[in-house]
Amino acid sequence: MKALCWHGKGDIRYDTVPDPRIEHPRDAVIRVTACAICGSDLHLLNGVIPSMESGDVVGHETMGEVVEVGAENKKLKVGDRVVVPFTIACGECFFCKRGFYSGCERSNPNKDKPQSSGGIPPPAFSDTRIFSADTQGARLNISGFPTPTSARSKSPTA
Amino acid sequence: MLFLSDIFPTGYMAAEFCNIQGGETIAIWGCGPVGQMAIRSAFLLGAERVIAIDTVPERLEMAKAAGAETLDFKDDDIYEKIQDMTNGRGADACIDAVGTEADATASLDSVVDRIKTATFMGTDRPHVLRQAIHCCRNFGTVSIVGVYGGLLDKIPMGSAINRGLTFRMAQTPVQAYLPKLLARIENGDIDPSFVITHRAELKDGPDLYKTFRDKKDGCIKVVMKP
Repeated sequence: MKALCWHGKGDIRYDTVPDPRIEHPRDAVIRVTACAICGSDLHLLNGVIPSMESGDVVGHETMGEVVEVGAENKKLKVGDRVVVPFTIACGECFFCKRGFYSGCERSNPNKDKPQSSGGIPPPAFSDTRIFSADTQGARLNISGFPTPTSARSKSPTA
Repeated sequence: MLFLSDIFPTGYMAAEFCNIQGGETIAIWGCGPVGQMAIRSAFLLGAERVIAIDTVPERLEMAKAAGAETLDFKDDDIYEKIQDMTNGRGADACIDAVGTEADATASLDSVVDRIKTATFMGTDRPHVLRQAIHCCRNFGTVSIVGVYGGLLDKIPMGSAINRGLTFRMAQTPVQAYLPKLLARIENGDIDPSFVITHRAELKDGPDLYKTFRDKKDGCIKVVMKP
C-alpha cells in the first residue's frame, strides 16, 4: 500500500509499504478513505521526537471502512465505517472503564515512567507506528471500545 | 466526521473544561485547528464572548467568522487588552491551544533548553501559559489542551493559588466524546469541515506537510484522500 513515511527532519515521503494484516485477534484492518495532517504531526516532521525511526508511517487523524477483522473482534464488522480516535485504548482497563481512554494502561508502553511524560506518552506520536495514512488500509488497535460512527456516519464531512 | 478523530473532541474538551454556565468570556490562545474548534465549542456551550489570540491573518479571520473578537499578539498587549475588554476583571476562563514542541521523552536538560530557546509564534513558549494565567480572572479556569512535554519554567503558581484558579488539562479521551459530538454534527450544531483549507491526494502529502508547517498558502487544515 502507499503511505506517507518519515525519513528524517523535514523529510516526509510517499512510499510503498507492506500491507497491514491482522496481528492480534482483536485487530481490524481499515481501508482509509480520508486522513488529515495535525499540528502534532509537525513535531514529527520537525524531528523533535527521538523515538521516530526512518520509514515510520505518519498521521493519526483517520477514517475509513473496515475490510478485515480478527477472530476475537466482536465490535467491528467488515463494511463498518469508522473514525479512528488518536488515543489508543483497550476499552477494558481501570481507566478506560472510567472514560479516561487517554490514560489506558494497556496501550501505553511508558506508563511506568511518570517522570518523563506524566505517565502517558503523547498518543499522537505513538500512534504513528500503528495507524497508516495510506491508500488501502490501516492496522487498528481500537477494537475494545464502541464503534461510535460505524454505520452511522451518513455523509463524511471530509 | 474525520475530525472526530482528534481536533473536534480536543477543542470541545477545552471549552468544556471552562465550566461554561452561560454568559462567560473565554480567551483562547492559538487559532489553529484545535483553537478554531474550541472557539465554536465555547459558543455552543453558552459563552457570550470569545477572545481569540493569534497572529496569522487567515486564522484570525476564521476566528472572527465564528463570532470571536480577535487579538494579534504582535500588535496588542494581550494582558492590557483583555483587562480592558473585561472591565479589569480578566477572562472567566483561558484556553491554551498552543502547547510546545518539547518532547515528552527527552531529557530534562533538552526539555528545559527547548522551552527556553524555542519560539512560540514569535515568543518563548511558557509565555503563553503564563499569560493565560495572568489573564484569567480570580477563581477562573485555565484550560490546557496544547501539549506540553516536560517541565515548564517560571509558571506563576503564586498568582494561580492566591487567585484561586482551577487548572484543567488532558490528552483528550476521544472515545468518551464521540457519541455526543457525533450527535452535535448530526444535529447540525456544527460542521467541523469549516476548518479545511486544503484538499488533496495522499501523494501530495510531502509538499502539504511543508505548506502546513510554514503556514503558507493560507493553510490551516489539510485533508487527503487516496
